[in-house]
Amino acid sequence: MIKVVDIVKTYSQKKNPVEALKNVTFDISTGQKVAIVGKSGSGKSTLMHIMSGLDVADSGEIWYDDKNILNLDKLQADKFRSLEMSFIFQNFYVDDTETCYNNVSLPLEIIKYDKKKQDKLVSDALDSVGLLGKRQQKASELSGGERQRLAIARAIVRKPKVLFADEPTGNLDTENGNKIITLLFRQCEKYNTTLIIVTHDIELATRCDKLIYIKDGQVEKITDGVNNA
Amino acid sequence: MRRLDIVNRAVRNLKQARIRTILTSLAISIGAFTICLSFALGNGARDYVTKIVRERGVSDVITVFPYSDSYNSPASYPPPSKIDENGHELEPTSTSHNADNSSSDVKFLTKEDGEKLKEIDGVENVEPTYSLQGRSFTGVDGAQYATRSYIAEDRSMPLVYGVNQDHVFQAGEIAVPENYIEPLGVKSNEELINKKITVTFESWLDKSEKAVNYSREFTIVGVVNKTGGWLGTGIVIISKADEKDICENALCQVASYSVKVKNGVDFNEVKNKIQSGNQYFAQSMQDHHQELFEAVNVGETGLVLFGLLIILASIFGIINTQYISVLERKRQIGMMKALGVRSKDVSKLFRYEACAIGFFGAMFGSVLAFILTLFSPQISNAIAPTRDGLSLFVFDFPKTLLLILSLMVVGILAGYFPARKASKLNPIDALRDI
Repeated sequence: MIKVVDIVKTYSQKKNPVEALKNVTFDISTGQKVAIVGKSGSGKSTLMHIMSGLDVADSGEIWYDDKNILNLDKLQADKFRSLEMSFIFQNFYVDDTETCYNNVSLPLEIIKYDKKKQDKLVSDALDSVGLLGKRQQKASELSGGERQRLAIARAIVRKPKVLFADEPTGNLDTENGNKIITLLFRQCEKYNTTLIIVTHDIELATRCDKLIYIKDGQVEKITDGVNNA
Repeated sequence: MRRLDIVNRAVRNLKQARIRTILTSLAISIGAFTICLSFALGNGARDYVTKIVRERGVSDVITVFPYSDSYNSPASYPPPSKIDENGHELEPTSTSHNADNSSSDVKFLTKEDGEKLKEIDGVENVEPTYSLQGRSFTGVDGAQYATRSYIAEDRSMPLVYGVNQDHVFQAGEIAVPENYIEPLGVKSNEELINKKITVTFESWLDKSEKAVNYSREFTIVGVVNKTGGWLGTGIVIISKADEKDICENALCQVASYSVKVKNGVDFNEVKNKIQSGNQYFAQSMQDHHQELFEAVNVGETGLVLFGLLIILASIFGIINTQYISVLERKRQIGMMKALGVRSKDVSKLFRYEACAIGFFGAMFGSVLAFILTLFSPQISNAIAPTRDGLSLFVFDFPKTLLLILSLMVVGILAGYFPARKASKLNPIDALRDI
């Protein structure tokens, strides 16, 4: 269970403070697929950054079960993120200089995972996104869709409790985007991972269990997606 | 992250930027090469000095001279010139030795000095060394011709006629330079052989004392190349027996004593005892060894400093390369941080990359220097063909290993600021690449 309570975030820009988030509050159940929807500049990415511990709020609480991550220091937040969360970005952010294997093994290296078991986990993750045959291929040699599949493999390899996806289909065509979302949903269901997608794509958002609409830094409304409709 | 994982990622990153890595490493390798070669050259020179010192004398012997403010010895040997009865040159040459010893303050030792030295604690035995000074020889015209240094038989002297170099000179035998032909009224080396020559020797005494002269007749048995050997021109060879007899009995002068130190006795202690009282001046091969070593060390240090300057310049190359790398990989850094990589691990990644650049540069320079030292015999032979056994470069493995480690540390230090910048990047800003 994730609880977001009264989150306030203000950016100071040359003596003109901008309120990015104003008393944002909502709950997400374990294993739910949630879309945070809003226009560009609405504050949805800021909310995702605060929820993942990458950024800090001015006030409020973010509870992961019984742990408020806003009370964690930087080192504890890094550790919590490396153990409990993962990310998928619009621009994939796979390491083009590395092989598929080395890209996917990074999250396991971060948590110092047993080297002997690492190979199986990486292979399983690559297999689940259909890239096992390209495990020694450089990420730079992959197509856009394949790179995002690689990013998914990297995100799921250590079976995180929460997966944040920031516009995961933003750089893909419709066909590839649908394939990626289907794959992402399937993987999250498989491991009961809570999926939080930040998007302005309503069609994608409605495939989630819950839609949280953010407007001008505030929760405008919360609705159920097609799965719950 | 595990250190090994970070190292692996650092090496892979460097491989990706291969050209940049090679170019940055090359700058360091030039410095490493210079320093390695300096070490090798220093070793070669020290080995050669040691070899020469061993060849020239034994290391447990102290040579004792009479104490003097200055020690003057004849330095050049022009052809003989006529002298008058007072010993003055009739046709003086600018560099010739004046047979009048009034300007010399060279002193000699006596038999009593030898006895004194024997009584010093730690001395095993004492052997005299003579320095025979010729004054003149009588020419065919009855005039006296200035003559030069005399040495007892020496196998290294280039005998060009008469007896060969293996000849053991007997009492009364002498070998003279080729340029004695004219004063002795003959036309060739052949005619010099078996000719009688009367030589007058003299003692080197203090200004206040009067020179003692002593004449003796010899039979010429050999002719020495007028260009001489390592002592220069004008060397005359006589037998050891004559040398001892003339020096000890006629002129009463011993140039120096060779003092052998007992095994297990502190060499320097004995030397200090000899020198106490300012009566004697003691010198050993170890002193020469030390002096030459110091000269070599100065040269080596100069070259090493030059290499260090090159490395100092290349440090800026590493810093620049790593800064560019941080800017190019901002998104990668942001992604890694988002996934939970700690700032200090990001910092380590960049420091290890800088360390690896230092390592590659050091290795490349060292290997290049090592390869060059493999050709040391050929290079030495080309530079100094007469120096048999000279090895110009002797590769120094321990120092090279230390150099490689040092350059790795230098790399880490050079990578400090870029690594700090990388570790302090805000992951959100880095992901947005702003």
